[in-house]
Amino acid sequence: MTTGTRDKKSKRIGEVRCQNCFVRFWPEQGAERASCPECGWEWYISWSGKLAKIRKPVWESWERHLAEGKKETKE
Amino acid sequence: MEMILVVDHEKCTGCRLCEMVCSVRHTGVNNPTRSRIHVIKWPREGFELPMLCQQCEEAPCIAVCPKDALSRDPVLGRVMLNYDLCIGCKMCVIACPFGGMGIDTVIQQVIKCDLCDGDPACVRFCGSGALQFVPANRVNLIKKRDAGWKFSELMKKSLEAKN
Amino acid sequence: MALNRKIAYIDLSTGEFKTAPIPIEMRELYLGGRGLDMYLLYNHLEPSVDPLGPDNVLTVSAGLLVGTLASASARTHIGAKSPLTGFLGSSNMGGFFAPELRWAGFDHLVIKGKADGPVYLWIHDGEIEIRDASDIWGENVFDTQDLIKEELGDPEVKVLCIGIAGENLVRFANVMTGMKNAAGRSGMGAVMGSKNLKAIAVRGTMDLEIRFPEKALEYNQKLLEHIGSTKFAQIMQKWGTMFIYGVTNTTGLVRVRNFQLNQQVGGNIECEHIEEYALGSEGCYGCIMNCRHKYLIRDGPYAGTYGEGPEYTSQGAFGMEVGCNNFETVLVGNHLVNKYGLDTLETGSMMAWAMELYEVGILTDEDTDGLKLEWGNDDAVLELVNRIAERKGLGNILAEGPLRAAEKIGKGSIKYLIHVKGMSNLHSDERPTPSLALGIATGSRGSDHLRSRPAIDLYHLPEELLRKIYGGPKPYDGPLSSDYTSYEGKPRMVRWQEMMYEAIDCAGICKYHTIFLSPNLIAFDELSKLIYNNTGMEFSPEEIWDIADRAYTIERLFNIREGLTRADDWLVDRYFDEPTPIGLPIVRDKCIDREKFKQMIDEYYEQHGWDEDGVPRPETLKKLGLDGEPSHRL
Repeated sequence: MTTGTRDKKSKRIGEVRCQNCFVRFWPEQGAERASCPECGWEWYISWSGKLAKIRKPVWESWERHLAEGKKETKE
Repeated sequence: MEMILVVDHEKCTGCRLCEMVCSVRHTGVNNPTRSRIHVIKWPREGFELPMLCQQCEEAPCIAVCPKDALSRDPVLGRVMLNYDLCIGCKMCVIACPFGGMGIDTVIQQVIKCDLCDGDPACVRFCGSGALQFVPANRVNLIKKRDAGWKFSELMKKSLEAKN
Repeated sequence: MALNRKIAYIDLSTGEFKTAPIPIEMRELYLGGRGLDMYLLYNHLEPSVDPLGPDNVLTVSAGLLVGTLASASARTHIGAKSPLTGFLGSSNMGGFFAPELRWAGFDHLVIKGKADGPVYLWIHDGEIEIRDASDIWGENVFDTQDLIKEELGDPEVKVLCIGIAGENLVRFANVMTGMKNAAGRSGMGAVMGSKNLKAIAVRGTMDLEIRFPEKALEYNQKLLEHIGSTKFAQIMQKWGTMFIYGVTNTTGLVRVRNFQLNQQVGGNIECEHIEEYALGSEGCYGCIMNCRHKYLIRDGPYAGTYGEGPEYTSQGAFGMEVGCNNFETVLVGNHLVNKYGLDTLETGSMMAWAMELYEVGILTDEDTDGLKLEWGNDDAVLELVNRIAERKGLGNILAEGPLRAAEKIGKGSIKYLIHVKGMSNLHSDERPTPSLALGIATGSRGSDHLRSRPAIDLYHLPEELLRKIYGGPKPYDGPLSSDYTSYEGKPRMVRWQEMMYEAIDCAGICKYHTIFLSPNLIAFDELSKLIYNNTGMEFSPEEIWDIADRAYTIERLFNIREGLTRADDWLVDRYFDEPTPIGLPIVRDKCIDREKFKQMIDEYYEQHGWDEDGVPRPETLKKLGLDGEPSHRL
């Protein structure tokens, strides 16, 4: 073990967190986009090896999500 | 199995953690001038390269040492310095083509990398993987795998472009 | 020992200097770095001096753990009275300067007076020289460092310097070392410029003793393995702080077009674009986080430009704030501000403000000398940076900083400013996040995210985890809330982060290794062990909190002495009156509630032991041993 070989240690490496509903989920390895299994919002994912990260919203479906999101908000 | 310390300059981030831990491991203080490894930098180009003793097979330092204080240790694959024999003439410092032999002005002795007796601290701490301690006969395979991976990525791209 | 470093008092007016040891009692009270700097400023500065006059005092320091086996212990702190706000000036940077300063035998430099002509300081192995800098005056940040290294004949010399922005007394000029490390905030570069001090060059070969080397090596390795195993560290190593844009723009927590919007819809300047330009990553001294990129622009008008960074703030300054959506503009802008020695954050905010004024007609083509300051006009933005640094035309007005510029322009321009205490806010939108808003409103150096921002509030962490972090080291059993739009328990989070950042700044460790953007990194407990292993000084986590509290309170005393009142701990009206127009549902239609915000400030003062005007109560001063300040012990 060196400080440079830690990649496999963290369980969160391939996981992202939906920024709309805060649910954690695992996008398919290498997938360019993924939808949150909980709220359905769609995100671009970027990868560095197995490390996953939300890149940006899928702007094309942004307005649709917002319209749906409004309905679901209880307040 | 002979191990060698290899440097991958592309991975080096220039943080000098290797210098710090080398110095502390060998002297108990942090003083980079007493470290056996140095990260040499060209800040305007963004180029960094850790430099240290290459543990040469036909070492000029061994050849010039008038007292046979320097010798090759085949088990760990290193050039060893016997301080009981060393007279501090610094011929080795002059002869080394890499700056691998240094002078510790605090204790007035010649210093060089001893691979920490088989567990180099610099390798343990290197956060980017620029320093690695690997079996000598696997060095080229590791490099081939890295280069092969890059090549395969390019091949994939060219195939995608074709389809 | 790491503790035997000295203070140097340097008077540029007379060319005299003296050195003095730092008594251990002062270490026990303030550790070092920012903490001791604050003590020095409070004791050596006369009240109400002109920040750009010879009476201002500039402190440069290395933290207590700099150069030791504490992760990322590379921070230089710079303090003075701020020419931007008139209150406390304090800024902090990484790179390689601070450890070199310690190898040269010094921890603190207290620089007074004003040199007759341009000079630089040459500090090496306990020696101090004041050298002529006439030949270097007028050079940019990068060339200045090269020329000094050449003159001194040693490429290993580390240089801290100002660019032409500092020479021209731009009130938000920064101090730089290397290609991008910058003490950016609060105009420390202008203070250096006002003293005719172009640079400080250091080189040291003195031992820095580690109290328990084996223990320190073992503990540091474990700590680094842990830090490296966090997802945050791996994201930083790959993307740097630009990853923050991905999170905040996606949510709708960025400032776009000077506060008109809180999200850049269709934003296309996210960190992933750096891959096209990156040559690799670069770290500061002893750090495994390597959060900045080395980049090269290969084509176009800026082909051949090499730079380091950029950071989140440059994405703001040359991206969403000015309505640009072009990653290359971010790279070029970042290069320009570094070359001139300008604070990228303040520069971006000033430009965005000017562009809004241009949009509403307060500024016209006549004021801008024909520069079309329309949102998204990349060329105009980059040209405006040149004009600010060179103080040309409109740039000369903007170079005066928010409040002075608003006074000069008049016509109601002040109501478009986004600032606290005369310092521009980070390019983030705090309207949906009361904790972050409280942090910027109360920061001791003006609007600032690195004084007290509880950034992990955005992660919606479970309450048990928040309790674990914010419940100690001094007991707290009040409310805490996972909801970042709530006002519940946020003063505690701000107060806790304030203490933690202060302690970390005293130690000289980078905030990215602490509980700032990741809840899994180091805080008081680890700091206590690091200090013990490396220096042999024993402090419990509670005692470190007290030290931080003491240093933070002396910052408050400094500000109060300079005329700060409760009214200065407040946000501009736009935070209260204009709800956020877009973003995810959770951040939409949000603005700060005046009444609740006032209550938060009351509670924040109460937790500090300050009265309702924000003045430390006599019993608080007594408890912290500050009742006799200024005590002139150093």
